[in-house]
Amino acid sequence: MYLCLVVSCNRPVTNPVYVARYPSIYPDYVGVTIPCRIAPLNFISTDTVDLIDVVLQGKDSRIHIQEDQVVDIPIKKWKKMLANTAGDSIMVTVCIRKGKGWRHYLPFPIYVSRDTLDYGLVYRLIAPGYEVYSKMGIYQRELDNFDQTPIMENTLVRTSCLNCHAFRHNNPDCLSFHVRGAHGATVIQQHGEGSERFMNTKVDSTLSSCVYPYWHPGGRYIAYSNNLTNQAFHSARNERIEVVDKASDVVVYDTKKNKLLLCPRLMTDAFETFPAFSADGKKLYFCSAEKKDIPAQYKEIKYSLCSIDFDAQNGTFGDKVDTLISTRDIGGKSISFDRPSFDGKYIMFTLSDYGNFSIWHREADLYILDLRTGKYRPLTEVNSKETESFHDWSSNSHWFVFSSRRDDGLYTRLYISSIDKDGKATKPFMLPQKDPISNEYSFFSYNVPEFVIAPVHVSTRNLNIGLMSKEREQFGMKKVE
Amino acid sequence: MKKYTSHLYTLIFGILVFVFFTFFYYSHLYYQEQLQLFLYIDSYFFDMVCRPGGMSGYIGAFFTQFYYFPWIGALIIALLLMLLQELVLFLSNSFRRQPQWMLLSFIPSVMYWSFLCDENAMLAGLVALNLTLIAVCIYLIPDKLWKRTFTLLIGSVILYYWVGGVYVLFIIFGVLFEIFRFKDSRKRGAIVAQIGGLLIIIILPLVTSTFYQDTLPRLYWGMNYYRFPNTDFYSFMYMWVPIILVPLVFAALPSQKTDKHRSVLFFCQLFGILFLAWFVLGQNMNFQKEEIMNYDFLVRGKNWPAIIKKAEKKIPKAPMSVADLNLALCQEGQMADRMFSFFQNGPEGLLPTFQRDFTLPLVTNEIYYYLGFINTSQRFAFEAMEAIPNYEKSGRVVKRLAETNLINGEYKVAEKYLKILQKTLFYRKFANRTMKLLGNEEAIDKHPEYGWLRKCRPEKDFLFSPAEKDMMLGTLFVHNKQNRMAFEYLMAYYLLTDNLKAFSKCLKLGESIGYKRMPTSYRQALMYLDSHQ
Repeated sequence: MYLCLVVSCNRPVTNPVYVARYPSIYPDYVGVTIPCRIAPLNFISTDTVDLIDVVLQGKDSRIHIQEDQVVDIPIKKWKKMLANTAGDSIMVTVCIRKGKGWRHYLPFPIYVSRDTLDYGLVYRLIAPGYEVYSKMGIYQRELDNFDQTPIMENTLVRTSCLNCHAFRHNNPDCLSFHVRGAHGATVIQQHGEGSERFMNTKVDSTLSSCVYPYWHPGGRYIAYSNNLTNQAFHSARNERIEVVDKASDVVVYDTKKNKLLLCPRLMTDAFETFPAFSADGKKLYFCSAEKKDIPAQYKEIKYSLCSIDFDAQNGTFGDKVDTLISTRDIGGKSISFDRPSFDGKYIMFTLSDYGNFSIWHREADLYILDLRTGKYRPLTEVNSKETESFHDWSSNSHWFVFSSRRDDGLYTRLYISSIDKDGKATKPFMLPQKDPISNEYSFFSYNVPEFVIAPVHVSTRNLNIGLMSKEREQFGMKKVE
Repeated sequence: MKKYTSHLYTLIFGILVFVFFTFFYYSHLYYQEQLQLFLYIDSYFFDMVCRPGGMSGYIGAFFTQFYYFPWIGALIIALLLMLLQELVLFLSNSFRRQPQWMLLSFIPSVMYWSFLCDENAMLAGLVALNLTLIAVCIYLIPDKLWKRTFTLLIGSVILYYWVGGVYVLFIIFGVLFEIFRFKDSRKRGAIVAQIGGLLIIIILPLVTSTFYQDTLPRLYWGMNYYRFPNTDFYSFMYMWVPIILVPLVFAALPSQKTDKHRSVLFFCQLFGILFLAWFVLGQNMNFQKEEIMNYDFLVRGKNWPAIIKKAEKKIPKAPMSVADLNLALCQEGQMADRMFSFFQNGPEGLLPTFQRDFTLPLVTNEIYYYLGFINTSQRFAFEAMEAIPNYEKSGRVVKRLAETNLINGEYKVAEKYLKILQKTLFYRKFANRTMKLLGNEEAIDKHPEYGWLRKCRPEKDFLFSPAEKDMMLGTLFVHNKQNRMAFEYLMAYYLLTDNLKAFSKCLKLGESIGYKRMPTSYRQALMYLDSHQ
């Protein structure tokens, strides 16, 4: 009874001053488009407030919250509201009390799309550091609540670096990721939990162990790059790190025959990297840059977007490499992170002034190439003045997630946006957090976000045993013409 | 009076510990404080306690923040060691009252005192031990066996998550008390407790490994006791075993009834304890490190005259200390005259090469900071923090990152770090003060430190090149010809690398500094050049 009294004792919003603008909230959820299955968009006011009163009006339901700081939307009510409001919008009315008076802001919409979003996200949490790394992990997050669980943390195998997780078309049954360090290996899982294999991916004819992965839609092949990577550090104020490849190639791993397919057209003197199979698996896209003298000419390394045919039946490649977008065509800038949509319509990529490690380039933006017309454009609907970098498509290709440093220019956060049938993107929304303030105190950046259509099941016990043992399966190799 | 005699010994012991850490070993405490960041926010608490041993880790970190004032740290350590001794004595007397063996109860505290002389020993371990022994005291309260069995089984599980691996002492004591005190060891309840306890020791860490990712040894033996995670069980054995042995000695040894025998016993124990203390402390105390840490302590406090005075008393040889001394000499305008009055170890004593650890980059960041290489200072500081082996963050580093980002005009990042520091006890004032500078270009430009460093930092970009430090220093100096430190480091670099040709060529650049007279070391170098031409 007492609890009910306490709970119902919201202060009424009386005689508010009407403010003809939207409230200033963090994250900025004003006018965003969300899927009908997403965690509550909890937010705070960026102004100091005594009380914040929020009314969410859906199609058939209403949620009223009054808090002193974090607007914590009850999850059950939110889910119900979303389910009933799909295809429509939620109107959010915010009133703020500071001192004695209330201020009533312009109500803003949150559009609820009928297009569904995948089950969850997998990402790495890592500090935006230089060469040394502290605690990091690869985590999965359910998108319709706030549950985040570790897939692997580097506390399991101390001093290791975990990176480059990838799934086959967002299907977690097929997983590849690298563990670097004294107990390093590439972990490949193709048949769910318990099928982990611990691979040594370096063969005689390759530059390095395998790096950037991309699964073939059929699940038999994984495209990788081999990179000889160096870091350099800027002395001037706005820039921190430069990551350059001294050499790089693209290779394809045949999981059935345990052979790395080495094609001379993908292993030239040029720098080939960021392989990605087309949605139908018949092409292999990648980025390629003319070889330059490193480090002297690091600013002259500009990647073009290229493709080569791929025959999954025979594990062979086309005779020639096509250039889809040349660096010359795109104002002398550099392309990285080419990621085709799974419906075959688009390739999204990141464009920066030079180089390929775009997370450290503040000018880096997202672009979209329409494969049907061959035209490309910047995704001005989502780009900001700060870095936009790695991105991933949802399995239905109606949504994409991307890394952005728009918050403060250093700590990467994840944003999700939808793409309509005309290829226009909606205003992105930040991955919701139970407590939005937690981002302020976090020393981690979100890295390599990948959608998944189901929970990722990995046996940590097998991972620990497998990684701690010295036994590794060796990649074989096959030179193909 | 006799009743309080044992407490008097405890007090004397505590005073000795306090004096030791306050006057002879305080730099170690100050060093420890900078390798953590205790935050007064919910997420920090939950992140800490949601792991085995997390509560003792949280309490240990809470206490460690007070090492910011070493005398408070010394007091906390003394009190915790005194508590440990009192608990061991209480438990030993609970086996069998043996006042004549009382001094033996100091053995675990002396051992732990020596352990704490290692700068990587975490206070969480001592907190965990104390909490475990308090739990044992609670175990002794119920008079009924079934209640004690229940306490043991449930208490073990709770204690494991509170204190980590040292909880096994709770189970061991539980079993020993049933044997020696309650004499119920053969009753069913006691057997259940014994078997249950053993199963808990074996299974609980395995169960924990299914939802918390860490190595099995750490899940078994504890994770917050030492800064380096790859520590084996034997490292803690020498502290845990005496805690069990002392009460067993009380239980096993005969009482001494005559005063004469008691006096002999007392003095034998006293000499034994003193010898033990001398031996174990001698093994673990490291005054060389204390000296190095003291230099860094003074650098952190910008106490340049004290550094020079200290060096004048005893010339430092350790590379980090030499680098600190050179920094202090430069800050006091004495480098060009006096640097060769002290030991020099080449260019590493000026700008040490980056190493992937959590100590050297922390020192080196200070040098780059005062030079005006703000980005490099930022990088070294960040790397030092990332290299902390137990994945903690550093208040000192976060403060430096706030400063470097402020100087660079990265106000949003600076604000993030300042907001974090606002949630600390001892960095809060700095954070509140510095928040007012965010976005205030005029105030920053007028700031004696930040404004000056803004003028010094390079505007034209170049990539950091460890093999071309002279090029970088030259570029820095050309950018701001009032940057005396850049010039003197450049000259020092040439002198230390025997590059007298480059030295004499660049000497003229120093005209803008406005030396009233030629500095001693430059004059000597020129004389040497003249005599050899």
